[in-house]
Amino acid sequence: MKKGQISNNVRRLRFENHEMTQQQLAKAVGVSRQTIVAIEKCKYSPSLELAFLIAHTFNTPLGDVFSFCMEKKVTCANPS
Amino acid sequence: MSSQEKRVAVSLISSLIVLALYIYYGAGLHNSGALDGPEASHLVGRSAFIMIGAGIVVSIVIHILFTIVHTVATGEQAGEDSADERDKLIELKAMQIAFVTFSFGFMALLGVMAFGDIGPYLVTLLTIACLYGASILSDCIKLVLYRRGF
Repeated sequence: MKKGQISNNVRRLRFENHEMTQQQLAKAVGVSRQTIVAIEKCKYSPSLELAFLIAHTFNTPLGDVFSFCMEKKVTCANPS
Repeated sequence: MSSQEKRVAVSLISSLIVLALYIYYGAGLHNSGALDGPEASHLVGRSAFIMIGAGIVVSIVIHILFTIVHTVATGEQAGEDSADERDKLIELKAMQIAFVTFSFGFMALLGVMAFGDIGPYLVTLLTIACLYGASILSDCIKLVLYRRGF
């Protein structure tokens, strides 16, 4: 299977949503804060369900939160 | 440190303690020649049961101590975090590696049994030790994955 890179705007969206904390987002979607940290750092790609949940929490389409690129070495949208 | 990481650390510490005690006990049996005697099967079976019981007790004691120290040091109450999807993937990955490790260890022991001059009771003891070794490796991998993010 070809590999790509999933990047995200979770960090930016958190700040645009009343500076939501990682803990608040984690609680809203039902995961640990460490999982949100890993997603923001692009170290962990969430399941489709969790990705939709995050997008739903921000009231935004999935494509605005996550994006996919086929190039191998793409830097994360929001490296921490 | 998340509650999942804490659980893994507790499991790792208790596994290390129990494995060390088991190796010490097994080496004592081997050196005394008890594994060659008529009571060998009873000793091996009994030691496995004692190790399971000791493992549970050590794990509970360390968990309590760890929770007390963690609460005193950080002021955080122990949460009741359930495992999320990332925790389950880490668990799965670590379990796969532990299974492969144990399989190789078991095959190596069978090889030694087939071509070497090692008794079946010592092989049984080493198989149990190999199982605990795989469990320790699994915990180490989990800790690394948690520290790295995934």
